[in-house]
Amino acid sequence: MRISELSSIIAFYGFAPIIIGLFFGNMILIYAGLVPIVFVILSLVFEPVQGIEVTGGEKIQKVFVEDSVKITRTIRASKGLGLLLIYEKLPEHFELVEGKNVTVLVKMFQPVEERMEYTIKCTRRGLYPLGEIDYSVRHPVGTMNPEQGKVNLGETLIVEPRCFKIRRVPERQQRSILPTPAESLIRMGVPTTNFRELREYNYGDSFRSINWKATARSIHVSGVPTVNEFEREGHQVVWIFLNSGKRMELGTSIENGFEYAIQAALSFAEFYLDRQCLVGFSIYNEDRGLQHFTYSREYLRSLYQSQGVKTLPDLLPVGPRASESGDPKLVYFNLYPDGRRKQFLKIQRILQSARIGMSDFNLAQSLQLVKGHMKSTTPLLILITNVTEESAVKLKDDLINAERFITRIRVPRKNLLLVNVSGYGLAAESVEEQDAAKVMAIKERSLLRKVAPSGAIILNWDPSSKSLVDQLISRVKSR
Amino acid sequence: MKISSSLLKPLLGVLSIASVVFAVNSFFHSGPYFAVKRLAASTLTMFSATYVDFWVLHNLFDLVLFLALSLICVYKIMVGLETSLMEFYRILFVFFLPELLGFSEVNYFNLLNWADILRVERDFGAVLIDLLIFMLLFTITLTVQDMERVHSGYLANGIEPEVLRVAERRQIGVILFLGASTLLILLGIVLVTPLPSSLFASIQGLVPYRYAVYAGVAVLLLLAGLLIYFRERAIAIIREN
Repeated sequence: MRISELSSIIAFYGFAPIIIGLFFGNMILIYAGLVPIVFVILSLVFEPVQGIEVTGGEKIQKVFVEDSVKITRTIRASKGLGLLLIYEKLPEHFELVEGKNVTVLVKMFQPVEERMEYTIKCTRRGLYPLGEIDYSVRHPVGTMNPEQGKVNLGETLIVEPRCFKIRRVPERQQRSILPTPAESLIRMGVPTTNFRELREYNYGDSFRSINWKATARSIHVSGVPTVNEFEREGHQVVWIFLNSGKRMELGTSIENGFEYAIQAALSFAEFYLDRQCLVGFSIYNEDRGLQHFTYSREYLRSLYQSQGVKTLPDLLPVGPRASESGDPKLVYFNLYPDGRRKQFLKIQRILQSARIGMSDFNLAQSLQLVKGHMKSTTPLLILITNVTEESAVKLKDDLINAERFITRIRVPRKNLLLVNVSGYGLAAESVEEQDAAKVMAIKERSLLRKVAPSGAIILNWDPSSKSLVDQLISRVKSR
Repeated sequence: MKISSSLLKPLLGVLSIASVVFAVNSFFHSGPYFAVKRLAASTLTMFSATYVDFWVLHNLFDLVLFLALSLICVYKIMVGLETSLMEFYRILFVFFLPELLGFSEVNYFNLLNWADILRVERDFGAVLIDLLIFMLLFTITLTVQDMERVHSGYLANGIEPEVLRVAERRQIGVILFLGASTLLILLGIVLVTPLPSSLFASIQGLVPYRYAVYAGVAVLLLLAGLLIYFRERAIAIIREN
């Protein structure tokens, strides 16, 4: 540790009388000049604080958005004298609710131990590092320069997005708008009584399933009996598509459309997983330009010739962290349909680190990627986005493209829930802006009616005025 | 609670007023002071002054000088001009000079035939103790000022005032302990110095123009001191940037 500027100044004021004293041959001045010098030398005998230890709490803590967390640090110093300034840097989006994340420890001749306690409120979901503590050691007299240091406790705070508890309305006289996937056509599972088709007998088929009349008609052609095939009973499939386009960021850094869209996505995922549905999840980015989602033969041939692309995986490489590691390959976030708690946790993990523009694929491309999983399942498609005039045309085209997967066979309805998260109310601050937001909301409603195919359910949600649950309740209709 | 409620500002006030007491006390025992008073008294006699005028001259003048200097100190501390206290201390040091110069081996004022100015009223020990305590008060003031600057920064960064009050009490304890130790060591040096000086007296006698040699050494030390000071300043500025 180097001597401080204060020491230099004190020593200077000591040397000055000594020099004057030598000049005049004055012993009193020489003795007087020794006072500051002896003072500084004596003060340097005291060592500044050493042997600093900081301990914290749990290494990993999980909380929800808007939860308060109490942070406790125990600081010990065993050697030296002076002041120890302790400061713990808070990650962005954290609010200090109680206590202070900075303190001063006064260390004299005895070892000292002190606790620093403070409470923080997590205002945004994510994975945050905690326990990065900076300290500064100060000499008791200030004759040495302060010494800086760092301690990293390596703690992590996982802030999970909060989801609304959506419940079905139990009253028979009322009808909720929340749809369930009405049909579940899958290849495996227990057969129902719903007839599907006639087919040739295969080894293992029950004799009871043989349709004797049909067999009598066709056995002379095929040579094998014909059996009745019934619809299989299975899990119904729901696909949630979340838009991560720039437009979703409308609002403040903490309260914006994207944050509420995440809450909605998580709430819907929980609701349908609780009802034994298989939930698939995908994040797309409406800002990405429309590419060849049909992959015509000419296009693939040109790719093969120019870039050596032979298969679809070559064309669409995977990996959520590919873009972060500098890999130019494209990034997409798809979770294929699965059920139970495991799938919920997977979705939650993706949403924790979700950010604007995180996907390199637009809706059409994302649908193209998952179409194999949509075929023959007639899933319920939940699309969470923000509709604007610019995006309306593209969205309409994408929905027309998706119609073949979501159209019900027996009922002329689309298995589509279009959730528009309106950010105007969140962005508006003054009275004039709020009035403008209301006008824009009216415009949004007319846009939504134009975009959504007939039979689709539209949910226009303004998070600044209602929670998702309230919005759903407001749409409950009496029979 | 603001830093003004801490001990530091009152302590600075006490230190500077005590310094004024020592400086003024030295001045009141100096030749120039008596010369000025004699001149004033003769002037008053010329104008046939009353007894009251002489009483004012002999008693009230001293009080007014002391009060004026003390008020300047208090004012500077109250309005937050502690940094200019250093200049004030330099002025106070000037009050010591008339008496101090009377104890110089080399009296340049003798060349001007101002022997009256360098007349000594007190003995060596009394003046030495006065100046030692003054220098100690000055050094402590420098450290307390620095402490106040640091504590104000801590307070602005959200440190609890209660914690700072505990810290300042303990730091003041350390500083006072260091001050007392310094004074004891200096008194020891003062008592011990005559022994080696008598041993070196014979060697000194061999050096021709020894005061010129002392002055030369002083100039060299001054230059070395300035060099070290500016080097430290430059390092500090580079570190800040």
